[in-house]
Amino acid sequence: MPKEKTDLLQGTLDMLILKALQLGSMHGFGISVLIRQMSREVLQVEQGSLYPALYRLEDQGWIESEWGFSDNNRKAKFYKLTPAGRKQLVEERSNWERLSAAINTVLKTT
Amino acid sequence: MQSNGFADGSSADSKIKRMISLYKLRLRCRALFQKQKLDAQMDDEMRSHIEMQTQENIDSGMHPDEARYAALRQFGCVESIKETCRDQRGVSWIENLGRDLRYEARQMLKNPGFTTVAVLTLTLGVGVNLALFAMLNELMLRPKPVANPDELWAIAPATAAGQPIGFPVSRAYYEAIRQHPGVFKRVIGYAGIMPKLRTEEGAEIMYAELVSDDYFSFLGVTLALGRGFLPEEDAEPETHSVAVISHAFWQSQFGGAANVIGSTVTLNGKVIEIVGVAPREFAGLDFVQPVLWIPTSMEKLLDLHPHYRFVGRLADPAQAETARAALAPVVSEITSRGMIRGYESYGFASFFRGVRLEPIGRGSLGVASNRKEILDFLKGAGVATVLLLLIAGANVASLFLARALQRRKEMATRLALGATRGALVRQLVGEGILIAALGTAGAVLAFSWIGGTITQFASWWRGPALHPVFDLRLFIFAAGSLLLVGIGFSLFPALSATNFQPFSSLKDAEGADGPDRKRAWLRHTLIVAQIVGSLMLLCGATLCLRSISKQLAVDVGFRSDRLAIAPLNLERIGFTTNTVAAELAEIARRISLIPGVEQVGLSISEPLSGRYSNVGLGELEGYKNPEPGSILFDYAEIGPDVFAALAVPVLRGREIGHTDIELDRRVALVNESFVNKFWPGQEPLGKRVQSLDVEVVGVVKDVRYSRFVTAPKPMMFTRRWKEGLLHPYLLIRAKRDPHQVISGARTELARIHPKLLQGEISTLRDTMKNALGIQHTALRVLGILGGLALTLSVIGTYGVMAYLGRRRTREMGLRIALGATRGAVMKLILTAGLRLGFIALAIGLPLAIGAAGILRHQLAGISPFDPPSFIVVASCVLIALICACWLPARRAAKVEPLETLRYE
Repeated sequence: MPKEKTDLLQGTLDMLILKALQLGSMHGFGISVLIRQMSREVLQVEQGSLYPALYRLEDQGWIESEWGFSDNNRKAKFYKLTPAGRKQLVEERSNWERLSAAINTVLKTT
Repeated sequence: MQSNGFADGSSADSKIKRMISLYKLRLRCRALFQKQKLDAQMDDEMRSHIEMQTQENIDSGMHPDEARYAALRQFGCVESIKETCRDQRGVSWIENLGRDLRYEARQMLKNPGFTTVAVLTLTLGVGVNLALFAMLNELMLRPKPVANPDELWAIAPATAAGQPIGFPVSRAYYEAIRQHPGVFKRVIGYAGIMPKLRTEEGAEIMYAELVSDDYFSFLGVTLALGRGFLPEEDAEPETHSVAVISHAFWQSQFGGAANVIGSTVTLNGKVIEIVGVAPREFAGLDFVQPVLWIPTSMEKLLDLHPHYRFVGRLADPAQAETARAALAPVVSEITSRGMIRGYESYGFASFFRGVRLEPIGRGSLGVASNRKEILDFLKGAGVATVLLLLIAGANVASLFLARALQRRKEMATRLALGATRGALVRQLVGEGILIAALGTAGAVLAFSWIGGTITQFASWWRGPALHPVFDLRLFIFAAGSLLLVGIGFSLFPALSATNFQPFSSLKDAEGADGPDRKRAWLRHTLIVAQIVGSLMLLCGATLCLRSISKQLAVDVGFRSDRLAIAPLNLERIGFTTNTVAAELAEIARRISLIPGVEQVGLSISEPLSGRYSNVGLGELEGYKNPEPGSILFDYAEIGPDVFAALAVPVLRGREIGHTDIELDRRVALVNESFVNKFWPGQEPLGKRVQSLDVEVVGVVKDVRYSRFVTAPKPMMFTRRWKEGLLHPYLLIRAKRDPHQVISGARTELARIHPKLLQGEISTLRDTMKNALGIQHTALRVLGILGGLALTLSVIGTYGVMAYLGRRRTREMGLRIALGATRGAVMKLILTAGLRLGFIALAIGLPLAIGAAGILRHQLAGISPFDPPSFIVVASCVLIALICACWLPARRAAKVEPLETLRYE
């Protein structure tokens, strides 16, 4: 599939990061890889958006960070969901589903 | 753990919210205080990301260098990403503020002259306002040190309509109100009395209070030592003799000894046991502070005639009306039974049908009799001080504007480089706030330094010395004025100075920017405003001055400029009415021997104090009263040689002499008006006035003895009141200047006895000035403020004119080169300044005349629309303005054309 850069709305990027972290704690690089993989290479997150988003999410208390070692024994900062973040993910997900369903309905009408 | 849904929604929600806010707080604190560590961590994080990406690239087959390069390129601009991340930390505004403050502080240090002038100006402006607010706080706002001060209401006898009547009410009245408090839960009573306290050497009259037994518990005052009163001590009159003393009295009389409980004091000859000591901060409910408190049952024991006041507690201020109405029938019933001591026969019972409630929990003003006078003074002074603050603010604003305009190139550059106008304005206003903060800090320092001397300003103050305290309210006031002033005077200049198109300003040479007209308008307004303000203050001061001089210049009938008055107290050094006569003669003799003293006299009433007595007799020998009612005349108690000391001729007969005192002869003198009115054509000497039991021995020329603002009336001078001789005034007439003899007299009196002199020896003119009371204080306040205001305006005008002169150097150079004389150049600048002056006068004089209406009832002798005052002030202001413009004008005229044209 051709690599395309798709613009992501800020809110949806947050949601994707939270979803990625649902699978376990991860460092920034790992998150961007994971999102790319989970979206089958459609979504490539730019670092210019990723890290500010991570810091924002941390500031809002939905994820927390700590330093650890990656699988290559490199020192890296790992992020993981907080209980509040878990709740936020559920909310955002239901919002998203409602929103996209509505958009789909509109697009389906001839 | 479940990933979605919680058992109990809401409490878990709030728990989460609390967790989040705590978490956020911790994060922000870390962001502030561990900035470097976090930045280093961010560096590490980005670097490790790039390394991992590089590794991935290598794994997919790239050459290591190319892999790294690709990784870096894909990452993007590291620095700007870092910056965005930092912004997400939520504390960037604090960091920006810190950076701005450091920048502003550096700017201020670079311009020490500007900073000093601005800070000092503001210290002045804020300082006087702070001082006034401190007085207001002390008088009206600060809660008394009792429990729930806002619940306390003073209950005073009044007419049915609520007008207060100042008559004393009896104990029966007090008991009735205590038993039927109505809506109030409880009512306590207190009454001021002036008993004589026996001291080691003699006796002194002091102020004490009779109080209900539950006085201290009602007010919630915890005694420092001992206990309050017990119910039985107040119930049966004449059974107990106990007292609670004040903290100050404990310190001064007993040296703060711990065993004071059980010691005794002697009041009016009765021995009283001390059972308690009040805490330091409690000093009674009223204006004057009592030395001690005794239960009301001792009223008869001490043979006193107290004037009762009452205080009740109301939980809710809205109940005041109901409470008042509930008390009215009680009061009405008592007074109709004739319970107003001494006034029953005058039919005043019909007046006392109601009560009047006033909150007295805050401030020390209480129900003081001159409350209205004091409030008026505060209002007037408030207007003056606010005016001064506005002037100071305008001054600093023009300084600010001038400086901001000088930095236009810098502003332009920064705007061009990407700064927002908002950021620049924020910095300029920040400088303003910083300067205001320094100014306020200076004011607070000055306040704590001179705070206590504020009351010395008010020479007519007959209350206790005010010690304004720097409490929370003052702090809020200071902080509030700081912000208001800081933002106020810097906002408009900041906006004005940053309002332009950047590139045109960068190109621009001196004196050619476009939107100058608007800024010129601002500058001119500021100067005009300052001059108007000074004008108003000075006009007020001049009016007061003229009024006072007119009154002081009144011919009182004797030479008042050579007299000194010394108040003496012979009772506290052990003399009684039996032993005092010889001592008085001795004192008079010794003082008259001091070099420079012409004549010495003794009087019981203080001459020209403004306080006077009059007498109404039912009948007077030798006079048939044509109208019904009493025969009225003024009255004063005097002692030996008074008129000799005052240099007033005794037309017939003789003065009172020391022998009269020794032999206790009841003699009197009358003035001419008295003889002309009551005994025309009769021989006054030898007449006896039966009701006063005096014999007339002399006639004196008419003088204004007690009051000097009215023409003399028929007056009698006697000595009847034996006790008065224990507190006489020593009148000393000097050969020339009274100040010379004052120190000599002070030493001699101290030699006779160190405690003989009570207070200060003052000249008679000082007494007269004090009698003029509030006007004199208003004069001082307005005069000082007006002078300061004018100085500030002059400085401000000078600064702006100098700045303008510098800006127009090129223009002046051109003019001179083209043939203008230096005189013409000077005239140009002077005219510019004077034009502002005339505008200011046109606005300011009508305002000042209008404002003079405020002073109307304070000014006696002149109308508020007194033309000479306004003309004098206007001329002074114009002259000051010319002086301010002179130097800049000369400097502008002295430029060498060639130099200025070269300068770019």
